[in-house]
Amino acid sequence: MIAVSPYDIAASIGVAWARVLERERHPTSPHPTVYASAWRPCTRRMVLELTHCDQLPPHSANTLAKFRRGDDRERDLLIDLTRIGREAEPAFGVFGQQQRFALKDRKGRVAISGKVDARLKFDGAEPPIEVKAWSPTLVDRIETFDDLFESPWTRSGAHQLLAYLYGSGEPFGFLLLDRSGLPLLLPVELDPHLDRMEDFLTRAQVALDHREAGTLPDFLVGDAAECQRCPFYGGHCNPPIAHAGTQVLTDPELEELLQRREAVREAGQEYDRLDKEVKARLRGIESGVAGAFAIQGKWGKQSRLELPEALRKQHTVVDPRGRFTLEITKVA
Amino acid sequence: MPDDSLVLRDPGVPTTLGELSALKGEALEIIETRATILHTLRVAAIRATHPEDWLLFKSPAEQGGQIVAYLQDCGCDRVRDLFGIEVFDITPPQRIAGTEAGAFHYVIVGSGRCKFTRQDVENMEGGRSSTDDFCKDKKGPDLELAVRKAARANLDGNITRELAGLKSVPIEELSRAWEGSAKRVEACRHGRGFGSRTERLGGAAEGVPEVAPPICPHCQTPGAYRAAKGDRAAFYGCPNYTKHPQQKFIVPADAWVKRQQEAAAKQAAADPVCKTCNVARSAHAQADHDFDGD
Repeated sequence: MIAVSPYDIAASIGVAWARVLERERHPTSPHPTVYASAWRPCTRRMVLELTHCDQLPPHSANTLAKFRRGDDRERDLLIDLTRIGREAEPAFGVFGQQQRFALKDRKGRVAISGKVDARLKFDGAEPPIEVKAWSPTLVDRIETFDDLFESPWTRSGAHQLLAYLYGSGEPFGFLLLDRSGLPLLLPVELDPHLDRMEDFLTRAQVALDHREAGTLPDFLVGDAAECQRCPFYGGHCNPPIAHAGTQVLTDPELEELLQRREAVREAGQEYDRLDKEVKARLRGIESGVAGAFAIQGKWGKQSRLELPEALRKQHTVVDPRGRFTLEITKVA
Repeated sequence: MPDDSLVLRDPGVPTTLGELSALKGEALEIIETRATILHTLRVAAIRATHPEDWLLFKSPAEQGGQIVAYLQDCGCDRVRDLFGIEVFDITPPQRIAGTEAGAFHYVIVGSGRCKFTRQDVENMEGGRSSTDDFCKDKKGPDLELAVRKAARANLDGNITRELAGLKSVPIEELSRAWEGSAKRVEACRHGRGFGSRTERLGGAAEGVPEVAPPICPHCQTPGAYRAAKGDRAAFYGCPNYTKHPQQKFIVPADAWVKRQQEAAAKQAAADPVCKTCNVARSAHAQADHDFDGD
């Protein structure tokens, strides 16, 4: 019998797994239309993806495994959704899976193309549904469709579904997000996002024009982070980059405030902790004496708004700049 | 204080000696504030990096053994926003054939500017070679692309390091900047000056005899082994010899090793070691088993 370490077995399985996935890798080739999932903030990148996508490095085994997982989850979730549709009120069916989609530009060319994951069939409506199995850290931050525009990793997915709605003239659709526990089904309306969709279509048209002319649009300006995320950066595209730089505040009063704040920081923390503990112990005592301290308490009215969850959600407004978190550290 | 002098506290606002001297007593305060802001920014930049972003270099022991840290390209990405670095006037990457068959390099040229200090650098070069470590498993167009992309990353890194002054940072400065955080200089990668590749990865030095080194009688420091080079035989020398240049300490390695081995053999014969517990016979009385000397 050959003595084999379990660590060696695990390592060899890992290697074989990667090899199997890499064998299934199919090369990308230049294509004449912008994919619905390929909305980019940089039109130059959209053109390069049409013309030079075959020159990008092949996907790693790890990325291929993520794609595979995404496909598997999409299939499973659509099977589940078909079953759920029979029991839902109103009932619905799932049909038209992987149906081809094409959106023409003003010149009559197919500018954006893709495949719709599926459609839900209700009485009088057939909204498209797009299934995404993104990283749990991304999905955890999503509550509404608008949240998708906050992260550079989810914006293209949001535009993808908008393109399907725009192309098929549907006023609404759904985005189904896989996550641990129940999946998140987000309703999506086209009307509030029409301007985004029109911008996508216009830029797809510009990309096609450049592709036909064999030219490239100007570099993206003012978004160095986006440039450095781009797979063409340094390879086929060498844009100038400009980082904003930190803000210098030269107000001596502010400096003094910060110094004083730092000086009393520990004392302040100690006070907060003690105050919390003391008040927790004394809650409900309306009159008392402890050593040298006299204690006076008073009950007061407190208004609370208790709303059903659905109503609360309906009236909740999310302000993307409503909260501001500061971290002030004395470093020098 | 007038508003003008407040504005001049910002290192990004250009000024001249004439302007500053016109402000008389306030000039000193302005200069001090500018220096403090620059220092704060530098510390904040180091705090934004991770130990893995730094490569440590050690000068030879005879030159003092100072350790300095070099911020790698990946670390430069983290500090560019703080310094407000711009990279512009970039030339197309140029392919240069290497001397070895199939080897090639890419060189790319660009200029840079720091919004914060208003410093410019012109025609800086970034380059990478197909023989670099990161290219090991790549070939064909994949290799070409990887080298080209790395050359651009190196250009961005070179410009950032130059403008931010993070090319050679004393290790003590890193330690001070990371105080109060979980970041430690011990987690930085080791480069030149830390011995062979095996030693840098934590292994024993190659070729160093496995005997205790002689101790320098002048400063009580264990001697450092110097391998043979050309006509010169291997020897032990004091790593701090620059501190006592008039007092030489050189011990021929062959003779020292021979003496140590003979002494060890003599010791072993006089006081053999138990094969079960590796304890000498003279100290074996307390053991819970019989001495095994076979």
